[in-house]
Amino acid sequence: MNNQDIRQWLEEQLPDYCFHRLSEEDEKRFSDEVKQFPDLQEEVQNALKLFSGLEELDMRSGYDSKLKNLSYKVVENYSYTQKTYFKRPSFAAIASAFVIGTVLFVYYSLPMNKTNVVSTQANNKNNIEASSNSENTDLLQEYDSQTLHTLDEIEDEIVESTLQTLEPKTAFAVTNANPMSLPVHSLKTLDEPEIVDLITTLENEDFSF
Amino acid sequence: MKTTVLNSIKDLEVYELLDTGDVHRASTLFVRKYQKYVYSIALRYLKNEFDAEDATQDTFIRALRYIGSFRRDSSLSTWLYTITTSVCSTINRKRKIQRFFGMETEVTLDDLLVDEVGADTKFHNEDFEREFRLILQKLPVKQRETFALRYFDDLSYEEISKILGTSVGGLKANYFQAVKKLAVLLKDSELLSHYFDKNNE
Repeated sequence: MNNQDIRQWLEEQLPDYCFHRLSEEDEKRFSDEVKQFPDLQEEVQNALKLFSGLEELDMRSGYDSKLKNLSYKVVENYSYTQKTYFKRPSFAAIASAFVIGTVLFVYYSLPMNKTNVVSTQANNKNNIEASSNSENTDLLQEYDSQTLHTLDEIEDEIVESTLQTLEPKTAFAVTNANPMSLPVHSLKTLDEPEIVDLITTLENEDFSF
Repeated sequence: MKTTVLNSIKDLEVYELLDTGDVHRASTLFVRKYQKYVYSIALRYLKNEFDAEDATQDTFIRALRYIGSFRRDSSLSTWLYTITTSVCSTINRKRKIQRFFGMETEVTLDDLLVDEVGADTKFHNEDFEREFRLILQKLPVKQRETFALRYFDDLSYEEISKILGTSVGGLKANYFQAVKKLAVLLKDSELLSHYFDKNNE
């Protein structure tokens, strides 16, 4: 052990030495070793002088009057709080929530209920698939009807464009007349060869006034 | 070495009574054994005797409520220290709020000491203890707690180490520093130097 280690050991033991809390062996060793360090020896002397008063006094004697009957008060209060604790509304609420939670937990963690949950999930999956299939069919039908509707529109457009190729006055008469009462609308009922015949006839007609 | 009440009654006796179902006797023994220990911790943290008394009661009530679930691998003193500091911080918080709203004025050890010394010049153990406590408050918390737990409560370094979360080597250094600083502060204290002079005569 070098000097530094000895000094560190002495410093660590100094308070216990001053308050006589070292073993006989350590106390003797301390008294012998401290002689090597005069500054530490002086510190020990000062501490011994100052703390001797403290050692003689029972510093906590004053506590006795303050802590008189404390054990009685504590035990009484403890019994009282134990009794009233179970009567509190908050306790009842917490207890019932706990019971409900436990019942639900147990119910859902039973293997039988787990199978039910799995089968329910499977049913749900089937339902979802079925509904998605029906949705697809509806969409297709809608798409088809839209296509048909578009063909009608194309036919109308052909008729309209044919009419627009006619002379301006006729076109003027057509656009300003009531569309519902025009004979033009009967064109829709004609077949394609009849329309071609009609166009040929109309081309050969002289419409000059 | 001083024999404290803490040493005379063993934790084992409290456990034995608890195990036999004699809760009443176990509680009484438990409180009697640790009341000064808990009260002094509370006093150091709260610096007010009335609050320290309340804290001591609350600590024991809380401890008795949970003593059944206490794992007996550590000592009761270590466990009680944790409960006491927790109760003290709750009381401190409450007092701060009350003071903030002007519901209460702070009564500290200084006020009590000035009043009592002014009224009666007789110097008792209690006065010495109060003055010493004031001096102790001037130390850093770790040094103060190390000194108090070792000197007053006679706890082992291992127990203090568990309580304060410091290594045994660190604690010994803290203890040495605390004693050094206390020696200086005791010398400077008018009241205590007067006592020492009288005592040395």
